Amino acid sequence: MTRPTTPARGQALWRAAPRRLWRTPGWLLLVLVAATLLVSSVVAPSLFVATARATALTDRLDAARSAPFGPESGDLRVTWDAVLPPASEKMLMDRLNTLTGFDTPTVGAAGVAQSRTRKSLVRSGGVVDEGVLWYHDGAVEALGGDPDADGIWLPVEIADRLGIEPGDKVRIGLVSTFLANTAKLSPTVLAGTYETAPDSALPAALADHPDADRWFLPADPEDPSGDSPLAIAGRKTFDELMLATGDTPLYAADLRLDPDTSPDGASAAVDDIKRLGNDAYDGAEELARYLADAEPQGADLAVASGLPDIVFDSNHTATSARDQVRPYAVAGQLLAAALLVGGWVLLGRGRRREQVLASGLGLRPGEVAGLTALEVLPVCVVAAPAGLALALLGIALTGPSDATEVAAATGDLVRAGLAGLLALLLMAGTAAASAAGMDRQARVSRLGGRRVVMPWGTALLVATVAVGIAVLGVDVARRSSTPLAMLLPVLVAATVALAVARVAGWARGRRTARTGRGSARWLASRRTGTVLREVTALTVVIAVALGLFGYSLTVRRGLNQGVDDKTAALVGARSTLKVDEDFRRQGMKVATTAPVEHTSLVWRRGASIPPTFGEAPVLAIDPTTFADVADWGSSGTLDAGRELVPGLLEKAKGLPVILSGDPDQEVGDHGTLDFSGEFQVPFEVVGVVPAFPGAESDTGNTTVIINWRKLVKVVPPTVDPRKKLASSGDAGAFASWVWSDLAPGDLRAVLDADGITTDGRLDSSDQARVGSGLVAATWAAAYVLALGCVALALAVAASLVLALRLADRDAVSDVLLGRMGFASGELARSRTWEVGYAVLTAVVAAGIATAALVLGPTVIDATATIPPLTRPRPDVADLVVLGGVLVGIVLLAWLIGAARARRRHPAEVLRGNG
Amino acid sequence: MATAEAVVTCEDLVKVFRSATGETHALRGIGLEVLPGVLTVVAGPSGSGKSSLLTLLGARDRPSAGQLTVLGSDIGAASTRQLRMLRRRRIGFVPQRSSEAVYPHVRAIDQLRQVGSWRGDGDDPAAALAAVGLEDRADHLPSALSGGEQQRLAVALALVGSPDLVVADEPTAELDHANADRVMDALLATAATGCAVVISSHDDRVTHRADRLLRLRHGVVSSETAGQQATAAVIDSTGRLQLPPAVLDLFPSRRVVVETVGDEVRLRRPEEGR
Repeated sequence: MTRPTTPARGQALWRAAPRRLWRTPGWLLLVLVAATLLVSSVVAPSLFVATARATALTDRLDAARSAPFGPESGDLRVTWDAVLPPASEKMLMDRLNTLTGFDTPTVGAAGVAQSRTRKSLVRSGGVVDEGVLWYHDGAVEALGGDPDADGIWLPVEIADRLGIEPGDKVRIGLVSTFLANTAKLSPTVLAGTYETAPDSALPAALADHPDADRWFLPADPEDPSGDSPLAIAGRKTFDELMLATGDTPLYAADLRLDPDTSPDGASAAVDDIKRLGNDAYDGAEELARYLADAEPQGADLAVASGLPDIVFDSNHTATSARDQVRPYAVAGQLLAAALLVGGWVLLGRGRRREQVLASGLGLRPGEVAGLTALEVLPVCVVAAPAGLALALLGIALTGPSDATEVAAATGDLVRAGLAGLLALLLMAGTAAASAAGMDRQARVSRLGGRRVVMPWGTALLVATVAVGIAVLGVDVARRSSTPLAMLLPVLVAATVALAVARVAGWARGRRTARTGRGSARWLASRRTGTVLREVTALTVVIAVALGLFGYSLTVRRGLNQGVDDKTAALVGARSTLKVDEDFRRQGMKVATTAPVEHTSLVWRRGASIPPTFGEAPVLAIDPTTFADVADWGSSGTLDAGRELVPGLLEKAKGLPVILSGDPDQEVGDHGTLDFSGEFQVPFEVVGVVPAFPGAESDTGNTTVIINWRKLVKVVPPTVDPRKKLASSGDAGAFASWVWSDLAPGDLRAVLDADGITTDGRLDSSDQARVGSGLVAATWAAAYVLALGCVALALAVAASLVLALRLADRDAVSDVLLGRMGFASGELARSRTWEVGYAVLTAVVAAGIATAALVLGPTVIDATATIPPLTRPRPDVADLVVLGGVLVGIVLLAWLIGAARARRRHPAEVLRGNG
Repeated sequence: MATAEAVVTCEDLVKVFRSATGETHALRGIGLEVLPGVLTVVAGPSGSGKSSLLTLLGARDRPSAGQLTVLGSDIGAASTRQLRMLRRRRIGFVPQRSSEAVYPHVRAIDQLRQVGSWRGDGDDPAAALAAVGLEDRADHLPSALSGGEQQRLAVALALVGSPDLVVADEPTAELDHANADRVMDALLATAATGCAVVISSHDDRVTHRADRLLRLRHGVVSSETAGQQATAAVIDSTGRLQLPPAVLDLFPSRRVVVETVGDEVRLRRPEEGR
């Protein structure tokens, strides 16, 4: 029975188009995957940069978390130095409460007028004791008092010495001790007493507060490392006594930064901080006018926060990460676009009959593009969110941090939509170009007309050489950021792949099959010839994709190991601590021996190596302990230096030295180290290495590594740290550092336990990774891995297409061979052999291309100013992975080819619909 | 018939295909006219150039040399756009393989509607289907049709929309006699409306129903039969004449003496020994 037909005319193709791809699930999946990858490749860079920025900010804030309020911290401290009237106070607090990204302010205050000639005292009767007025929000309440009540709280021992009890009168104020013992004391009462916490001026009731060690406490002018005893008052009492005693108050409003603040929130907070600081000094602003009402004179307001620097650093790190990732991102986008266009071209080849039909019916290329757009519209609609989700997942799994929450912003949604549209336009454009080509094909039929045959192989070789010369001609420091840097691996892989595929085809053509006639392998060797060009083309695609995948593995490893090496060159050890005095004035043993286990002493200074102009850093090491604690990176590049260290103990003509960097001297050369003209030391070069632990911590083309035990014996007494009067402040003195393979906290702990001062500058490898921007390279490495996975997907997709194309090619011959007695399994196996040959050829080509790229000059070092150079690093695991890919692809191709052949009915095949 | 304006005019039509192994001369100087309202059958052995000629007449390819005018357009000189519009609006074409003539994902009736709309005619697509006996297959996809049904659908697609020229390459090759007759009826009916119809075929049942029969051999028209008239050999514009095989056998030396006697031309073997 015939259903009633719809009356619509001329819309059938258009109406059928959106459902078209559903009829071929394999192609639908391929196109969906390709479009998703394209969307993902477009969206991922911005997500990556946003995550890098957030991660850099989080890392920097974490590092500054325990620092006191001020320039080292991400938190904000706002200070003013006069008593504000209530209206001004309210106005200021309102302003602070509206600062973006910060918690509500906690106000503390103390008298800061005391100095070596003015003392803050409390007196009762004739007994005086120390005591500085101090206030903190909630302090009096924590002591059990009424914050609005008059009076001060004193430590129990001071109250005892004064002989007073709560409720007794007491006077507090400043005493000048310089010329005359004049005092300005104001009467108040003792509101209460408190027990102090051990080794602290704070009451025991407040010492456990999480921020207690960050509070503003008045320093003891006699001993700046200690705090003065506190006379704690409520705010009203504090303000009154400040004015009455003539003390100078310093109020500090501390605002904690929201720990979950975003980079944009942090930037907004920085803007607010700057605006607050500016408004306080701009007489036209309300804030400045209110501050001018303070007593006894107008208040100066100051803001102190490390947040601007932290935000600047995190933005710099994110920018660095973006620059490092950009070439890979562009390569990923091109790769995904190539996958999509290539996939659609192959799909078009499968629809050759329809293309002929469309051309024969006079369909315009524009109409073909429109039909294609309608056909792929549902795919692109799905691919846009899927690509965004894939990018989010990829960034979450392999991005800068697995702790930072990755979220898509509006811009990312727009980008995903535009990328989906781009995918649609690419496929529609490809279809239109194909239709136009079909229409114009007949034009060359005219006698005398000639087809222009492009010599692709020659063109590719010429392009590869040209791009290679262009890229390698760029200075290595800027090479990785050149637009062609990522094109070079693709061209090299393509050239090698084409050459290997042609050689393999030629070799197979000459070699007669050794297998028995009629076997699957024999059949495979007979069949390939009919579609040799197509097989060769797909083999090249697979080889290029696998080459890029293999190269990405080596690049990723190289980038990660390069960061380790460069960090080692920058810092020298996991932790290095500058200790100014502890190893001086105590003779040879102390000056040369590691103070505790897991450490080594390194003395540093600069010296010139005439005739070269300028100073070179000198690392004077203890060869017996240095090698064990130094950081030698992870690639093995620095190991050459490690092997040379024992040579510093040997006898030589002059002191044996190792030169690191790019010196003019060679091994065996002799020269003189000139220490600022004060003294000269002859040396003999026993080794030259490109990089050495710690060699890059100071500027200079060359770093000199020398045996401290030998050097210390020849230095003049003026800079000899063993001498009794030696000091780190002496002109030309060597700086002493403790290097250790311990974590910074552990190093401080072991040195503290040994009685060595630990308040000097401490550098750590973790800190150096972030500070130098090297951490961005590790993030880029993760991106490279994702890119490699896209290349692998391309290889797998091309292999499956090859399997399907071979199955389609054999549709008719399979029926005939089946009638001749070949089993379907044998026919499927013969095709698997063909896929196997193609993929094996591709793997060989990929291996050769990767080897060429690995052995050639590096193009991947984005921080080449820090030696050693980062290079791709191959590993046996790469070969195992490529072998695994080979086996996996062949198995998959076999399964798909067999399933495809099994679904075909001989009758349909012979009718031409197979 | 001679007074009507020719739909197709060929003059010294040559088609050469290039391949890696050399050139193949499919057509070697065809000269003919195709008139409206006439069903012309092109017959000949395999490789004689039938498909090449029909592809050119269908404006799907350009001649390598010579002049080909289809519906007033010089096919060799027309722009790609002009050829496209010609195929879209005025020429119905049935390719040799029916699977190349239909969209696999569109129902039969919808394909006819679509093509009809391009040709700008208000014909009822269902009537075109009925003309080839597929009225009960209107809602089927091509994959649900047999080979013969697909062939008939391809013919219906070529006929729908009242094209000025229908070119069909062996349209009855996959059909049984009844359906072949039905298709021929449809083609003749179309020709009767004033459309020029050119088909190729080996089938005597088809050639016998032709208004005009052209026989091709080795890329040239060897003979022409119009209706009940006697078959005439064709002399091309350079004076070449292709003899039928039976006559050719009379001249084993491939040499002939041409004599003109009155208004007759006689061919005889050269005398032995001269």
